[in-house]
Amino acid sequence: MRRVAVSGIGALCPLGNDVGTLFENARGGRSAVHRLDIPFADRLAAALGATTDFDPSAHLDKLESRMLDRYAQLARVAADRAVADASGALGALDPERAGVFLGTGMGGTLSMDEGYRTLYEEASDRINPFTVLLGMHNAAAAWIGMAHALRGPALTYSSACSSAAVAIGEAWARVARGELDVALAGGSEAPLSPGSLKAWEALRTLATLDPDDPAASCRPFSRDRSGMVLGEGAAMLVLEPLERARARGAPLHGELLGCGLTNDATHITRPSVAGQAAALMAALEAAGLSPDRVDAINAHGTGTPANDATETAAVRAVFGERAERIPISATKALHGHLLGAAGALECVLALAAMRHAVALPTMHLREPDPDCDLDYVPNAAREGVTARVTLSSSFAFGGTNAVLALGALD
Amino acid sequence: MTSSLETIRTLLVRDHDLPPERLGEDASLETLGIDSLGIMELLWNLEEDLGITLPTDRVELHTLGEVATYVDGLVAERRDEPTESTPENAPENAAASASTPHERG
Repeated sequence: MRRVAVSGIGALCPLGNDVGTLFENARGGRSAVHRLDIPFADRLAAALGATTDFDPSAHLDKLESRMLDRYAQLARVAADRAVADASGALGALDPERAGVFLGTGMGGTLSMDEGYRTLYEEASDRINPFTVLLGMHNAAAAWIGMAHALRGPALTYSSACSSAAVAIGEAWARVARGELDVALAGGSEAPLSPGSLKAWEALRTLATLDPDDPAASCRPFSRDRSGMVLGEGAAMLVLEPLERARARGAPLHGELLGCGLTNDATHITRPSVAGQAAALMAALEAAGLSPDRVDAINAHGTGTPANDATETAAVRAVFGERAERIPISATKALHGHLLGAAGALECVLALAAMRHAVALPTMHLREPDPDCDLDYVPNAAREGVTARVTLSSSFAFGGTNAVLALGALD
Repeated sequence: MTSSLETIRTLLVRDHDLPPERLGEDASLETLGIDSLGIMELLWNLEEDLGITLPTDRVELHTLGEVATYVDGLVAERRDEPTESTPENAPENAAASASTPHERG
């Protein structure tokens, strides 16, 4: 197996549109969650979201702006930036040994929602002729492949909230096994359509609005947590063999050490301690690490009552008493739940945290919960925390658990 | 004389940022960078702007003039159906009534 480096990152997310900005906002605990000012807001129990400051016309030509749903636009631009950041990763490359691995939970749901609005609300038959192209889950990967002439596999992974982590893990495996020399991997999501918001609300997964401080509505691991807040954005990584990147002298963000994938195979929504613990163990096994090598964890930490207690129990099951000494960060309090992009954004944050020797804060942790009794780095970043290995967890509706093992590079 | 040519030009300038001076009657869609999807979108917009309904049969269109002639034929057919003709759908008003349904979101 070859060692795999992260040589480029592009991210557009509620915390910022470059790694430096979004990391500093996470470090400072500045929440991007806000009241949604949309016409449909009065139909929502809690009109909350985390939006990304992104104007497609500034980055894409008119035709692309019309033919790509917002999720694909975000992915396209994030991929461009990752490639630019990777300083020559696509040079001297056999294009058939370069692929795209993209996670998305809901694909072009904004465009589908708009199409249904035309058909059913307007009672018009003039549905946008690009609706299929806008809505399809594999559109983003296809456009990225076209933009960079990558002729290896262009694959889309859709396992709800673990989609991006799965995509990155699958890309890691192909590069590590020597099947590919470059992979663009990550995730994208633009789920803030009326239909999508209402569907998540109906499932009773969304946070209630904190009237005093809407930005603090998502409170992972806090006893008064009430659910998650949907967010939009994309994060893409360039993965390549460490040796190749080093030969080029490329500055590196870190190393991808391995990925653990498991399926709960128990319940469509209820998380499983056994399934999550197995994924944590599988990531360690893939990375060839014992549990005592783990220095930090970027939690799935959605802020739903079920996830956070289950995740705590899973971490305890894997690390035993040592679990209490591992800093655990739940950054969804700040950027919301990016669903199929969450694993990629959190991977980016975890890599940056290692480079800056910071444990990122779990914000809005107001009340300790006896069922969530680990070190979540509550409410303020912890500086000077040297981590060589960080796990980044993504656990999904449907039961697909994905844990990425990330390593620091000197 | 083809009356829909101006509408076609307006749409191509708006949707593809093409310079009007390149949009002569003999201009090739392929040369302008308008592929099959672009032609489909153009016809879809013309349906609304000119108040016509495109038949489902496939049609080969290569130049702006060919598109205009094809569309004008459909407009003429529509005029021959007295029950369906409405003044606001007449081609003279097409540019003014051009909608942008695909740019909503």
